[in-house]
Amino acid sequence: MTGEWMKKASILVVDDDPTLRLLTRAALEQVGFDVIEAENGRVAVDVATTALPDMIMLDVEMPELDGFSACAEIRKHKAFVDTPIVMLTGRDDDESIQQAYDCGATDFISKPINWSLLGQRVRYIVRASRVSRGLRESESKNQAFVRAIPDSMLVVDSGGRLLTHHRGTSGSQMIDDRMQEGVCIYDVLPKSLSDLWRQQIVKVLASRGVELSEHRAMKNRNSQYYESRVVPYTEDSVLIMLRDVTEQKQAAAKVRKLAFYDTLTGLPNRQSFLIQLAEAIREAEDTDRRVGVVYIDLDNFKLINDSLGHSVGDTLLKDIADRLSASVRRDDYIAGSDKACALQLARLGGDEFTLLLRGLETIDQAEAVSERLVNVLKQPLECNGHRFVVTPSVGIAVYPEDGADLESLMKNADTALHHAKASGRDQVTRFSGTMSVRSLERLDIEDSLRRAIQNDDLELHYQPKLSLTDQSVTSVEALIRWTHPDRGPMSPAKFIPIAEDSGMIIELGDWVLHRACRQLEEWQSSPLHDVRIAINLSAKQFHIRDLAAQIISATKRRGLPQGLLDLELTEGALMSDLESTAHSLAQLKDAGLSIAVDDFGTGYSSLSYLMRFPIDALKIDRSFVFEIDGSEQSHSICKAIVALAHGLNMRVIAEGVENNEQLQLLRMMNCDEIQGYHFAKPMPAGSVFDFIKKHRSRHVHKLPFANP
Amino acid sequence: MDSDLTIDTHALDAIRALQQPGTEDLVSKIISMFLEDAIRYRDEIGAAIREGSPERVGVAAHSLKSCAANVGAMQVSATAAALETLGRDAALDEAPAQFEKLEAAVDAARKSLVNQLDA
Repeated sequence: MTGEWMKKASILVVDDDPTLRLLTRAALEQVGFDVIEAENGRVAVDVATTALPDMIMLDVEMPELDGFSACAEIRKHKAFVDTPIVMLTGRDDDESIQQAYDCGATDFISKPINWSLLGQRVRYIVRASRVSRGLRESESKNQAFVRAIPDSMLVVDSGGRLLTHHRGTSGSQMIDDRMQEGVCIYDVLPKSLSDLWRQQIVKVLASRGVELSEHRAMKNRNSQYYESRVVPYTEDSVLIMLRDVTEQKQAAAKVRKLAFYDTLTGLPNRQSFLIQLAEAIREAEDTDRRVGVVYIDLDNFKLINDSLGHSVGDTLLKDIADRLSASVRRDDYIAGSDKACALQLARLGGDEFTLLLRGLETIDQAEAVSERLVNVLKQPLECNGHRFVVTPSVGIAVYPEDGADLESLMKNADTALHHAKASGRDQVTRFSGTMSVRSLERLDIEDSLRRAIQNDDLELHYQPKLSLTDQSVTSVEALIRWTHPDRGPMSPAKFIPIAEDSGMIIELGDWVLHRACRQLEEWQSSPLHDVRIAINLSAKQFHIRDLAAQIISATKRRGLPQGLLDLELTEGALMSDLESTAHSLAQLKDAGLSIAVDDFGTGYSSLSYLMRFPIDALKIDRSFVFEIDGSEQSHSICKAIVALAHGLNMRVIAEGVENNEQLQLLRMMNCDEIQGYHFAKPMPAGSVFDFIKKHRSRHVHKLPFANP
Repeated sequence: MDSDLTIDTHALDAIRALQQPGTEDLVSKIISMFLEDAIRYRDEIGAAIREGSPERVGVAAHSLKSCAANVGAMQVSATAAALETLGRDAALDEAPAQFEKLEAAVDAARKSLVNQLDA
């Protein structure tokens, strides 16, 4: 815009008198204008449309086309709508002056021209025209803004009188029909809004600042949101801009929902849970109330997801969330009546839910609410034609008893949950200080082992036994191997006692039995068809009433010939219930099983019973074998055991043989078989197969007769 | 300043005031143009009167009126204005008498202006 002001203005001078043109040029150039000349109206029209002058001076009487006609013609042209056209009229020629006005001239200068004033005169005219053009442009720009901005606008004077308004595409709902110019807006607006604006109008007229506020209006039962800005307009009026921000509000709400709520179930998510918990703890710090953190995990939910697909899983999760919500609402209502705790559900992810109990009075309350939740969840669910019973495990931690801060509360609720899961699931467990890492580890191992058995995630390794009489290998001991999903390979010394304590040893023994039978079956059609497998029986397993029947059925189911399965039992297992032992052993013997006493020499055996039991072999405990070449005592014990066994018509097997000295000593003692790293370590089925084949090929002349 | 009343010297002063340094002398140029134009218009008026063409009298007298005013030849301008009116009104009866006045005024103006040129 400054550029246009700076630009040298050009003036078209139209007169048939060259003298006048010359003088006019001189006068105008003197004050800095550019001058273009034309000698009559016709030429003027042509020159004007190409040169686009900033002002035109027209003589009245000219050949070709007179000044009036030229003026009218030029005016019609779009580019000259507001270009100043000045007619040069005769002095006191009223008629010409009138006519000039009628044909659209801007002004007139009477002849004879006062040369000394002409330049100045034209400068005034040009400036006035520029100012008015600037105003008009700014007006039109303002109108463009008003049209382009979606906002609706009100112009209101300091007394609240509506001066003008504009309904935009946004916010026009706020301007109803009563909003007529001249009306006092305070009379037609709701009181709250009119009070606010009244205050803001006074404020901005004084401060010349902007006041922003947001309003809610109801429309067809839906909330509409408006934003208003009040800004000073003139000295004593303001402009109020109104904008509908409902969509932004809704979008913001949606973002909030996405950030703080779980999209599947609509429950608050982990993020909100953390915020709520932190808040609850702060709140509880100031009162003597408690906060309950309840972790809920659905047992075996992964199985549903894996077997029926995620869509079924998701539907179930939604149903479960609904159930939880309904139950919590009920509880909340009951609790609300006696001003007890507030309940807040959340979904942490997967099949993990949490319940936050704020303002809890007693710990019992937390347990009671959790029990109710469990019962609600245990009701059968229908989904896609499937019927499910989902059992939850629940862990509870209570502030301040079970943790003074957010982290420890969450950790302890989680620990309690794991205990609930590890203790067989489907239960509510509150955190307790005795839930040490060790006991949790034990529970975890137990839980993982149970699953490993179910999922067949265990393995048997086999350790060959070497006969010292003919160097043959005819038997292997099956040893269980397990890799914990998180803890890695785990020693049987660690998990067998846990399995025994929990009673899971029965299932574990069962698994070993079946796995060994399967192995025997595989070997039946191979050169190793005569190799026997010895399995270990725990005391508990040994005493189950129909053990013999189970073993018989297991071997029969695989079509195994009799005599391929050996059993190894500890002294403790044999001696724990003598009557039952006698009975079981008799049955097992009948079934063609060979029975060895494992770890012999470390337990307490009654020799009289030992003598009476149908036992085939004694296995010298590895502790004696280990010291056989160093300790005279151990040497003697080994010797004694061999003598005892042979005396009772039993074979003797030495375990844990690690070197040749040990082997030679045992050989001299007439020990029948040895087992240990010196000869072979336990190995997977494939390896043991290769090992035995290789061994036999070296000792082919001593190959025993094959079984029929 | 010349005391000759034939020419309004203020008009020439005004023109002189428009003079830009380093350009052709404006007053001389205007005077030369007038001297030329005045003769041409006077002869045209004379011819038009003789031939009885009031329109041509009007047009030529109008032009002379305005160019005489430019140089301050007020007598010429006034006489031309009178002739212009006669022409417009198609009343050429008094035209020859006015024309004589015009010729005299033109001669006087020429003399006076030539003096200005020399000055």
